[in-house]
Amino acid sequence: MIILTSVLLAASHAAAQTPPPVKLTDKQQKVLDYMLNDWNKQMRITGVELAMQNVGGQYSPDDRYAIGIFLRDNPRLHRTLRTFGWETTSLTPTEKLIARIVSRAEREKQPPPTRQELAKTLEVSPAVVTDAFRMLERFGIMRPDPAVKNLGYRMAEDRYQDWEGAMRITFMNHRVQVEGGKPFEVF
Amino acid sequence: MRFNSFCFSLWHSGGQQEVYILRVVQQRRLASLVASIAPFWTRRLGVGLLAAGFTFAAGSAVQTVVFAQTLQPAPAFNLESIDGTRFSSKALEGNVALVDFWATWCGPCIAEIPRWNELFVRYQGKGFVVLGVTIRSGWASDIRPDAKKLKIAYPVVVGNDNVEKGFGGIWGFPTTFLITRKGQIYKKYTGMYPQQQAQLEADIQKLLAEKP
Repeated sequence: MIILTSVLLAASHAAAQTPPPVKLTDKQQKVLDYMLNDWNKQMRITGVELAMQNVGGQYSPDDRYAIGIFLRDNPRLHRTLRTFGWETTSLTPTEKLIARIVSRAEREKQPPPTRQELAKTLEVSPAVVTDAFRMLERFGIMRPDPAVKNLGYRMAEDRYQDWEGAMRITFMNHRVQVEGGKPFEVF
Repeated sequence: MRFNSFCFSLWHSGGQQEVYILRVVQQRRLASLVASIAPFWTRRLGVGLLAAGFTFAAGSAVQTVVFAQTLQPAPAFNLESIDGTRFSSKALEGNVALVDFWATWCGPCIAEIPRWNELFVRYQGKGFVVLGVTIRSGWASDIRPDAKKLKIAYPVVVGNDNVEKGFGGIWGFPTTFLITRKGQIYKKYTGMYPQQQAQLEADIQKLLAEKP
């Protein structure tokens, strides 16, 4: 009886710790369907941000986050995810560049640039840099660390320090637009 | 962005352009290295020209990155094979091994496969093995049909972060390593270029001639 109770308690504890699977709203599902259709075409890798633009309507970073997590949790959806990873399709170019710079600095044991320097280098506003860090944190790629001077963030896991290689976290999809058509991305 | 151009070009172009792009990337690195070690007065006298001349002259030599001075040990690994078994690096021990990091969607990687098949058949039973390490190409079940279609004659495994890190990082496709009988990385060949087959074969013969 004691054993049975322990097993049940352990099972309920594990269930409580496991986050429920992400369910997409109808409008998020539209974006996912758009991407899956796009990825079936040769060399296509249109990401969430561009897919949201192409589908049209109002989409927020929360939508991108939800779709990104859904992609992360469902690699069986498409070979593109298994090949290039959910990060490649879910992060924006700015987020990828920031991840690249911080990852490289950590790998080379150099101090990372400040947020102001990042904004200047990437030619974006400081607010965009802040938003990018916030999203990288939400996705579990970076984590806050007050010990990192002027930046306050570091890569969430050591493995990300070596993730700057071919077609990894920092891979920038190539955006293409044919006259009269909607833009798409290729690898 | 430079890396993306490199990778994109590798995928899209035929041989010559790949070599050219690879050379440019490596020459820039070499130029910056020369610039960093040159004394200040030399820099003032135009180290740019000096570095450019030096790297131009060294152009053909830097196509292959050589770890010649101090050979590094190849990493130990145990990877999932696309035939459903496991492949241990112990299977390479005592052999000269060509380890090819490739991706199923990478044009130059695919173009190289007949070369590896040829070498595999020619030196099979003479202490030479070929291993294809597939990266950024999905799961074993994704890769298996591609390998079958491409008629790969040698073992193919699914790479992971650890094996890439163990080999010093894979920054472009294809990247090929030649490993000595003693399990040390002899050379790293980045990209695909016309003289590669002859150069590789000469290296293989040299390593096979060495005593185990």
